[in-house]
Amino acid sequence: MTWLKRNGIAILSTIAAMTAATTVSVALAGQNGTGQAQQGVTAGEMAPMFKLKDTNGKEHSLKDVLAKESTKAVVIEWFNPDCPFVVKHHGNNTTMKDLAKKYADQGVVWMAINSGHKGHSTTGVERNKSAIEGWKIAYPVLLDMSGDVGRQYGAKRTPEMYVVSKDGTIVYHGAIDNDRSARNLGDINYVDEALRAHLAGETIQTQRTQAYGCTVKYQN
Amino acid sequence: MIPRPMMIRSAMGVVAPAAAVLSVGTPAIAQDAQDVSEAALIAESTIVQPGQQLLLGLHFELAEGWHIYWDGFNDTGFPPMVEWSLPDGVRVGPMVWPVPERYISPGGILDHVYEGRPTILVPVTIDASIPEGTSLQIGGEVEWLVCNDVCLPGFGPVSIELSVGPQATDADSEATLDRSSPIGRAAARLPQPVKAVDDVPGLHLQWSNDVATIRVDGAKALAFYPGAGSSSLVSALEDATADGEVLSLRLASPEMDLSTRAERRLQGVLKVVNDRGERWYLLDHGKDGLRTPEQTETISRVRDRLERSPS
Repeated sequence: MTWLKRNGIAILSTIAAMTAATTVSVALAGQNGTGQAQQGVTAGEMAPMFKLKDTNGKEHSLKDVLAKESTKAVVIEWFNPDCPFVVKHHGNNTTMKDLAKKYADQGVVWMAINSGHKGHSTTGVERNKSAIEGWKIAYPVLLDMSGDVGRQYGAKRTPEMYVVSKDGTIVYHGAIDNDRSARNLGDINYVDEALRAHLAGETIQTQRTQAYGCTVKYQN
Repeated sequence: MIPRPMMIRSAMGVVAPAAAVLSVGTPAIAQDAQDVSEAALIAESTIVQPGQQLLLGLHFELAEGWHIYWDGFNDTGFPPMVEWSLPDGVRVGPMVWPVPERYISPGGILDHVYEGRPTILVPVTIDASIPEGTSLQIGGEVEWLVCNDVCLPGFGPVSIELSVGPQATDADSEATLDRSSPIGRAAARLPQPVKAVDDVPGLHLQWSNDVATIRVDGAKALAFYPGAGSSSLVSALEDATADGEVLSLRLASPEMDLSTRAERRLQGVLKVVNDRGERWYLLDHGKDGLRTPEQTETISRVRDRLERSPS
């Protein structure tokens, strides 16, 4: 028997393929059943408006951002700097930063939200500021330590992605891509495809997927 | 950073097939998965016979408070995955997963997890043509996620060497399992595959208006753990447990169903608690009725072997 060693593992494309193929069912946030409690919002529903402060103390209002003439869409990314799936897209790869940059001059405003509670090691100004600096993130990380905004959206994971149209409708909700592992990137980036189609005035083919990641660290 | 008790440090150890031994090291801050979890490949026996089917186990030792994930429904995380490296003549079947525990995090987040010392069973078939005396190195690259208040990704190789002994007799291939071994303990947590309603005393299944109703006469409590093959539920968190005889599971509307199933299907583990104790059943239920669940043959075989094993 061999115990695991931590280094020297090649990333195998077969593992990526296996991971991408993993299908897991989901209890969907935002499901509108008959007489059922709302558990958040999803594609096709209105994005809850919010005002939150970023790591520099500057307030950001979703309503105000959408009202700006230059804004064509808003991407909201649930964030936790110490979650391996966030690290996958910010540290080991530059998925989020690259996408935000790609669409910045097309009127897409990107913002991250950390809904971890006050006592958690991954929250607070200091930890998130250092992540922004370390990963050279060009967009704000908003602090939602009460978890109120996260719960309104029904965001459960980091990263969990919402694309909001100019009129405030959520047009995409779910995963950033189609690889649920903590290491490998998927071959489909759903947010990229949603933004491309939305800005071109086309119908977004995949509007909902199951997000993958760590739990959002809500207060009990 | 949060101090975490009972950190486990990687340990090189000679481990008997029956029981893994882990050294518990000095408390430290967990920075990677190996600080709080270890994975190993174990076998019910390292001596195998040509033509034999045997069980390996992907075994984890987890620090207190940490968990890994089941392969069915989870809001977060992912189950351990293995990319196998196999010698000629060795075939590995799909992994067989013991019944997990429901794990709810603040914010209505539901996962199904294992804590402690879980073992996921790996059925292996040794080709009959492999000659006695052959040494078989079975290995793989494992990727897993271990979480408590934070999550850490783990990956690395596991392997085990098996020796091919003399040709099996029928009696050998149906050997009993050691109930106290990690593999035996995992076998004891396999659900009973349900082929017909009568397999579960008092079971009634019904579909109506996108609600699947499970009733078990005499049950004190029921729980359903949606499997990887199930249609999406509106809320496994709210619907999938009940005190009493009835579970009503709302199925997500087709446009909200992310499971990409072509048809409505309720697949997963049903837990029944009654006067006789706790039992688990593996269900695969469509609108047209029950189907034989996947892995029925493998699971039934393991359960039969356990049944015949001395207590």
